[in-house]
Amino acid sequence: MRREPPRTAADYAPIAFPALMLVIFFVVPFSTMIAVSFFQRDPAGFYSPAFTFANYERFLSAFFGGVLGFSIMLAVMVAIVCVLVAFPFTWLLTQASRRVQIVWLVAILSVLSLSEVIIGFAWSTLFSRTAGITNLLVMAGLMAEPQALMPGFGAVLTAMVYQALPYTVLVLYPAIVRLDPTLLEAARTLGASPMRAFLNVVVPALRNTIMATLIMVFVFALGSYLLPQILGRPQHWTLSVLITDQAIYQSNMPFAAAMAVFLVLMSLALVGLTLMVGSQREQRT
Amino acid sequence: MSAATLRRIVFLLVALFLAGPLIVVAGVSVNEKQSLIFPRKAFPSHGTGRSSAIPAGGPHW
Repeated sequence: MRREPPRTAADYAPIAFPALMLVIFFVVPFSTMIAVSFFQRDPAGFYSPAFTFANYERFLSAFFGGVLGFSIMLAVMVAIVCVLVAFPFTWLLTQASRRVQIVWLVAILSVLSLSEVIIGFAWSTLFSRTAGITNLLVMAGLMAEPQALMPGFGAVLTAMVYQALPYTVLVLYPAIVRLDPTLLEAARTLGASPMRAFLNVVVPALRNTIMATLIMVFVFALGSYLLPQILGRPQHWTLSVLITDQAIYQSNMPFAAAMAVFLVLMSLALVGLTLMVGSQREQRT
Repeated sequence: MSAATLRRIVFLLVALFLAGPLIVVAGVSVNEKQSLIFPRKAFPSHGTGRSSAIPAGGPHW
């Protein structure tokens, strides 16, 4: 069935409410942030209206560039690890019985109820010297004495993967469960091993879903600021930590706004680039 | 390795990963000292076990 293009104003009515919500909850706050990023810091208050590029100039330094680069690298790593873990898991989950699937989905949803603070505290306990996982390894005779695994990059990455994994599974699940089972049957009939059928049929068939999940987790991880602060050293702090520091503790709202604008633009540019590369590859095939 | 065994191993690893931190937090929540020690040596006589130590005349806090 072919849809008629909208002609009258009434034809646009169904998109009026989403457009209004987009304006209220995205366009207005983001425009305010952009405006504030050009304002001047007022030591007596938050800021005073002006038009200056000083905040952006201050941001364009090796230090903030390094922090931005680390934030993006961390978010990319979290997204890749999450998809590498969640995709085979979700695939195996869809092969299980309906009852097992429901139990797992409820368990995964319950993990979502944990706040970032509880996740950070739990992992800081698990990585500590006195109460951590290394005590179990010592008991098992695998280590000589317990040691702290935090603060460090591994601790930050693990906790962020823990936080994003439920979202990854829940985004992948509907697409994987709807995948036509005859595709896999055809591959198996033609002599492909289960692993080869998974890699050569299932993964390419769900390429767009995988890409969308990677982008979602990347954007989600880019905004994380509590876990790097709890589990990392200052060199593992993301740009979000510095934005919070500037906005709340230094009372420098214009500079915080400039950093936030830069972070949003960078993430939009990366997402756009990923989508562009994906669409070009799709046109070629 | 059969598909069922592989599935069990993957499920076990993901379950440990998801439940591990919660188990440890539950374990240290019944710790009787102020520092966190896991695995614990003995069940606490106070702390979360405080309710059993409330004197007959009522709580004094």
